[in-house]
Amino acid sequence: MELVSKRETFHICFDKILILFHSRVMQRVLETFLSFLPVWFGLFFLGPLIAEIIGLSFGITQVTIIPSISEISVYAITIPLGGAWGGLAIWRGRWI
Amino acid sequence: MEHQSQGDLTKSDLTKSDLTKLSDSELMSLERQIAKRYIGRLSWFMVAWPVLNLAVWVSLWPLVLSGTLSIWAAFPLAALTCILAYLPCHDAQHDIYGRPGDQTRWLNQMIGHLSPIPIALSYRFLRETHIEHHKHANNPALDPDYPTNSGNSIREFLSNVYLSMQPNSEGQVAYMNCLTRLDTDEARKAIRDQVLVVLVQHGILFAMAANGHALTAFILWWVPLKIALFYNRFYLSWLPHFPDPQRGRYRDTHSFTSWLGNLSSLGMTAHVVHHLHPRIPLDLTPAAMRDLKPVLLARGVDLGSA
Repeated sequence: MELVSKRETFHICFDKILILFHSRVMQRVLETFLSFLPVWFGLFFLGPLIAEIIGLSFGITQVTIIPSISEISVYAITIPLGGAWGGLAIWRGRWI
Repeated sequence: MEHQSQGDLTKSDLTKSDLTKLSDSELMSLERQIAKRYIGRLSWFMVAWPVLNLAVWVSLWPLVLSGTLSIWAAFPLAALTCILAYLPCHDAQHDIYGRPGDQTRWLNQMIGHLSPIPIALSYRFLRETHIEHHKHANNPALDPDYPTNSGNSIREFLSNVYLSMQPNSEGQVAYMNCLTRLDTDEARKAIRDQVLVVLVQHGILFAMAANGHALTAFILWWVPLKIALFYNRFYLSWLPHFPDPQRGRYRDTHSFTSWLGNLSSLGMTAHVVHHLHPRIPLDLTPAAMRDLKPVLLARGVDLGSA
């Protein structure tokens, strides 16, 4: 029985991963992901950025929804807002 | 002058002679003879520039995150390193550090790939589109720089650059259309590389934000990148080609004066020499311009008040 060395195994696996990335399905996934990049940018960067600025400027980290009952983090508001801003940017073709 | 060989001409001869009497081929021969003095001359400055620039940019991150350096002190340094990141890559795009087969080819490729890291652009993407810009300078349909860098006034130019930053802007589409039109192996690799760079850049930004450092990433990278975009496009693309863009070897680029001379314009006051002889290193284009000036004037090149 022919033994396949660890190095050869690595190369075989790596080649299969490359083929996967070259596949049409993967390309479609990537294209779709990239077409929504402003949304991801708004969700995962602008939202947290706005929350940090609010926290540093006004010292607000929690927001009261129902007085004395529930509070949520500012991030829970700014992240969806950031994502919505990104979506709006795609729709309007402009951030501002 | 007709009895001397071209190789004997001195600068004094050039300034005294009436070059307009020379034929087209004689002028071209003279031009090439002068340009040849500058091609293939690699300086330590042009090698040290990208290395130091990238080292400074990279070092800002641990210094700011550890609290050693104030973010507001780091911000102007970050902006400066982003502004200075493009040009060494630009020289590499023209194989100035080393052509294929040269011993310094590895240096060319290394600087080409590493230098533009602060501005989150891939070497192949920049190279393929920039070569097309040279081939079709100021052609609205074929020059990928045209939509982003056009404008008959500074206000129009600023508006165009701002619009180019928006989702699916005309400028972004122009670059992608250029690479798609080329449809070569290198063009496809350029698209792949740029996608990878965008993904990695956004990954870093998202990771910083997830760890409570969104503002650091914003001030150290995102804002300096935008500043560099405006600055570089103003001096490298708009001023030398606009307003009133024309086409043709001696018409598509013009010289201009800058408030701090060559320094503030990153050497672009002599950009006309770069378009005529792209393999002259950036740091030598002002000197080459001085030597070529009589020839350029004989050709009717717009040298402004240079």
